[in-house]
Amino acid sequence: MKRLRYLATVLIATLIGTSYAAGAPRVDAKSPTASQHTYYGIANIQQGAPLNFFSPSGMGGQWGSDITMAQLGDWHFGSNMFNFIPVIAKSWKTSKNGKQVTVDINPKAKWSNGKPITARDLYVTAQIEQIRGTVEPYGLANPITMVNSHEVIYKQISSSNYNLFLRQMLFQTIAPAAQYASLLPSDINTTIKDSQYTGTDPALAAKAKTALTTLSGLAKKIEAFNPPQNLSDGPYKIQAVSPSEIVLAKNNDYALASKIRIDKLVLRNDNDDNQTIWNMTLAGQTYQMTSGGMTPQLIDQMKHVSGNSFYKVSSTASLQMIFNENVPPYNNVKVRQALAYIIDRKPVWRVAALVAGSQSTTITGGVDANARAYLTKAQLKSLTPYKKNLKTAAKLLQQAGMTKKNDKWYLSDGSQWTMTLYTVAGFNDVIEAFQNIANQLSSFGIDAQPQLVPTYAQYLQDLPNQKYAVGFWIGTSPIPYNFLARLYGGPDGYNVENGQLVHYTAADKGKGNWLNFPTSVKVKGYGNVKVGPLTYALSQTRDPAKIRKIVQELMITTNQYVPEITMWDVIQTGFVNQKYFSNYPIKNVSVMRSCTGDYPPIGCWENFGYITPK
Amino acid sequence: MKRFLLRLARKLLAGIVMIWVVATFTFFLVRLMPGDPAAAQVESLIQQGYSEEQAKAVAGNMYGFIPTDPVPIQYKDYISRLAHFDLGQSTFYATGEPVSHLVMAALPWTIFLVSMGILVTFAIGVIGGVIAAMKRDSVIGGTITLLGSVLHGIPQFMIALVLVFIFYVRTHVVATLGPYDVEQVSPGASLGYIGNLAEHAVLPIAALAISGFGFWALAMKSSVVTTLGDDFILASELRGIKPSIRFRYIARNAFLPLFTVLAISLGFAFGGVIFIELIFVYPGIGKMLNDSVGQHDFPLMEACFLIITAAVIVSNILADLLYAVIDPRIRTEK
Amino acid sequence: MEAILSEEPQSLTSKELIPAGRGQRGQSFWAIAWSVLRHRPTGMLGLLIILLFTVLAIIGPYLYPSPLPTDTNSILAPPSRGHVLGTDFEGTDVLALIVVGTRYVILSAALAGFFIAFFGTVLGLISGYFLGWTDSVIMRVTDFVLTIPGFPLLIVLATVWKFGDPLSMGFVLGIVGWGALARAVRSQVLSLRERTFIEAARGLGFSSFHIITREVLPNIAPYIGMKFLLGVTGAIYAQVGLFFLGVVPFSVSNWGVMLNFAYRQAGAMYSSNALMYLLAPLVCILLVTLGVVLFLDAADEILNPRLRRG
Repeated sequence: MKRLRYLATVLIATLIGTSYAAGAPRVDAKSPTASQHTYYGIANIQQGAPLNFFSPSGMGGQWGSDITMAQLGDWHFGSNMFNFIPVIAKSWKTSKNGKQVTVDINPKAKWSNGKPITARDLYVTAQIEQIRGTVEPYGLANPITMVNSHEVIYKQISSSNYNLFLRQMLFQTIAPAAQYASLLPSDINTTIKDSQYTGTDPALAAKAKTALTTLSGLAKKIEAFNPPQNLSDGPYKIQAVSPSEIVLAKNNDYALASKIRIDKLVLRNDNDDNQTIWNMTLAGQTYQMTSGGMTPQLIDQMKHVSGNSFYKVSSTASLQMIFNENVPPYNNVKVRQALAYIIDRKPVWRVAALVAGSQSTTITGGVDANARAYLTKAQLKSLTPYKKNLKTAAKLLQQAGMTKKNDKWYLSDGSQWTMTLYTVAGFNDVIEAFQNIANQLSSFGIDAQPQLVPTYAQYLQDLPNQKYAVGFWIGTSPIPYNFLARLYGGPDGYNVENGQLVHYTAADKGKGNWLNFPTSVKVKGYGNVKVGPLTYALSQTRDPAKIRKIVQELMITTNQYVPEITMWDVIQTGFVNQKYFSNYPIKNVSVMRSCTGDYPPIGCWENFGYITPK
Repeated sequence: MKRFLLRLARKLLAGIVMIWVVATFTFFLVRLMPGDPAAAQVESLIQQGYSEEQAKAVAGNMYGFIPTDPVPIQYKDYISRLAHFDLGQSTFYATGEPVSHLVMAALPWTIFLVSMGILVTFAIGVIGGVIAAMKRDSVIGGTITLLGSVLHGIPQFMIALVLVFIFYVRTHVVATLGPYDVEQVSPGASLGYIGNLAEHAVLPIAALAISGFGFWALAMKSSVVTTLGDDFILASELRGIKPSIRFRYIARNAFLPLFTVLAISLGFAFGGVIFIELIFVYPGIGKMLNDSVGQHDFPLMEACFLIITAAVIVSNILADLLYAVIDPRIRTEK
Repeated sequence: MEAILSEEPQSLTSKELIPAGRGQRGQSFWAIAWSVLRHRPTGMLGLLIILLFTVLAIIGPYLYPSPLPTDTNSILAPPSRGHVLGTDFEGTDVLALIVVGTRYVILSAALAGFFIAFFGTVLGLISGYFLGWTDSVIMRVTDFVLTIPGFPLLIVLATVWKFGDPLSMGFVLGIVGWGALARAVRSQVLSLRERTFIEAARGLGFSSFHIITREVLPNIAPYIGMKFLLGVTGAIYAQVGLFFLGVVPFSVSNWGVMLNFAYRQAGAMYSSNALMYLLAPLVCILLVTLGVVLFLDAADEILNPRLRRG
């Protein structure tokens, strides 16, 4: 038995050892200061993610506005014009043609170690963005001009005329040159220049290829870089991280520090299927939460918790059912229209998104709110509403050559019409929606059933490989070009390459075209509409009237040709608790909408001047 | 001693061969998996507000870590890297972060849960088993046996859910899930931290103990029943040898076979605590495996699977050695 | 999962094993079974539960219209007279879902049990009877199967394998789970092949096939039967776990899918309305397991005279 006792001792010693190793902090935990205002919230903490803003999975700017030159100001549907709240920048100027932006840095803007942010930091950031290839769509010329230590000029290359150039430059996350400059070789500007060559000289082209390889190697290095200390803090600095929690303290070096009234921010990790979010909200332990998967009964219960207030913000995202028009019968516009008439979208919405969505009443490629903002009253009225109408649907299907025998529909080639609605495991709302749609279709005589693809990665690989005739798609973005390009951009084979619009068809393998919308369609009141070039034009004009006109044209085209059926518009829902903090923007919809991208939106709200401790 | 070392060397060699087979198996299984992780990343970036073109550029950089060589060359690289304990770089979790770092960060949590869970389960189960065997014909014995059989059959995640429901959702006895509260304690060799850790570990370990109780209780009972039938016991009863000596004999002989089973089950528990890690939010290997499957993070997936399998192999070798050390019959054979 | 992988260690199980059937000529098997079951009402209860779910699996889908009716005006409704167990996310009756879903769960679990028993027995018999290189090859493969952790493997496999029908689910669970049984059967055969009646049969010149099927197999059949039932519970456990994690495929009436949606989507742990949506499949899984366990307990006694009460 002695041996057993010895073994037990060894085991216990190992346990203490492992428990120590397991909890080894990633960041030096300073002794917590006696803070007056502690705020409890919820965030998504990525295990082991680097403290690097350039790593897309990094833990950079999740808690409030990260260190960008400006933050999005309030925004309204139907506007391509954006307001900004200056953060690092003090002011900025756009040239008349929109191709040049001058930015003056706020002298109060500092890195987390108290050193001032200078023109050199912006210069290095622009080089990094060149290396990563993220500025290419916006045509930023390299290098940028440093006028003096606090002023820089950004220019667009001559062939580019991107209309949101200013927005793009102001939203860049700035990297501290002190940490990142050492990652770049001294001849980096030459390499970038070499890589941009697109001519026919074989020697130069070969040089460009080498340069591109060098750049992509550098890009990997930058994204994998894990700086020992994060200097790019926004309103808050990380104090301690555990797998389930993160503790942050106010960053006194933040340019807008005077607006930040929370001294300590404690955020719990939400990565357990909503259980933490729901439990803490029901206990009044979180002062802010966002959750899309609540049932009405759950919301009722949460509303009864002292201090809790419910809020809803309409978003620009929508859930769409989409068709691959390369696959018959979905290439027939009458079939798509008929399906829109068969599916009653109200029960679909009720089943899948009663709380986190609103019933979609228009089919335009965008959310209802966007349709109302961009279309005139007359145009709105002229849209086909596609209200459930089985007679019209049957008529359309017969016109498309289909027949109904023994309560089942048959295709024109005589085979029975069956539909598989593709969705992804874990996307429970879409699964619920497709289950309901399948039931509706089946009772109409089209045997349909939802099919789960194991992972989103596989779904997105198979979709452009023409494997799914019917699936789902998420429409999103406040920017007209972006939300219309969700249909008539990459998914329809229209890509921007070196400032030129290029089109690929379904036959071009691996080029991403799964929508296969006709290149040109006849639209009532517009004649021939070429959706690809028209959508691209949205990114190239700064004239609001022209933008409005194009959006109208594309929305009406979408309504007539039904490449998608909008199932519901997404609504962001959440709670705030006003027991210890008040002055929330929950009634100010435009502020709320501007901050929906931040999770949690606490820092973003504070930048607008909201959230006061009681 | 020489024979013992030889035995050890043979076992180790077999273990390495097994790890190679499993690594090869995982390598090709993972390559069979359909799906483009970069495309999924593009989508998630677009949802975050990136434009399509920008998202593609960023995702392209992120997934620059995915090798594009032909599969045989990839395989050769993979095995040769593995021989140097290089597990590659993660493609999603933390782009470019060496997988070994991530795995080493996750491993202690799994070891913590597994060892604590098994220790507690084993202790309770063995005591229950002895009682069940000694009082075979009484109500207590019958109840323990029945309870053990039923608990053995209940899926672990159901027990975990019920515990969460009772102690976290309904009564708030436990305020937070996860391994510890970083707001209250900072990790280190302090009593406060270890106390906090232990507090949080109560529920997951209870879940492991409840679901594992049946296995050990039944195994111990059966072992004790067998021992009771031994000639020695029968003879000692007849000759009136002190009950305490008899008990020691029973305990020792019934207990020994279980000890090697304990070592083996330690290895299997690595893959068996996935649900406990998921439901109680412990960032261990199982949770990491589950997440990496969803994210198509191949290197991380390969590493997690390999570690879980290696745990089984190592514990098998350990069990073998333990058996040799503990069992006097085997020892004297040498 | 533990249940399908780490079966009881052989050192324990092999001792429980005493060749049944032979040597008990005094009473018929059925008479013994009946007398044990009569004295052990729990065993009888177990048998009844197993029978109930078997019947449900056979007739369940015929009791309700297909597809099941939905009612989007009563989504996640609490139990009422019309819906005894409430409704799901689509307003479908939970009781109907449970009844219709029994078939997949039971059938795939039974198939898994069958495949485990089949692979385990055949390979174990061959390995133990013929020995030599066949034995070493089979045992190396068995080692491999026993080493690979089953549930993690299933999670990874779920991305390539379609678990749509009960057969493919049962097959995979069988492939993953046969290792322990093969080893146990092999060691049984090893001890049996030295017995006189086998030696005699060999001496009389019976073919190996005849000896294996007529002499060896009947002696280990009860043991295999018990392992089959254990395999069934293990398979229920594993497949429901897979569905709970949200791995493919999707079917509203699948018990694991119901658990998943109740837990993640309906907030069943927090809302009393949807509680039955979560509890119903949970209780059914418990019942099936309980049934098998209770019955096995009695079966153990029928087959193992040593455990029989005086």
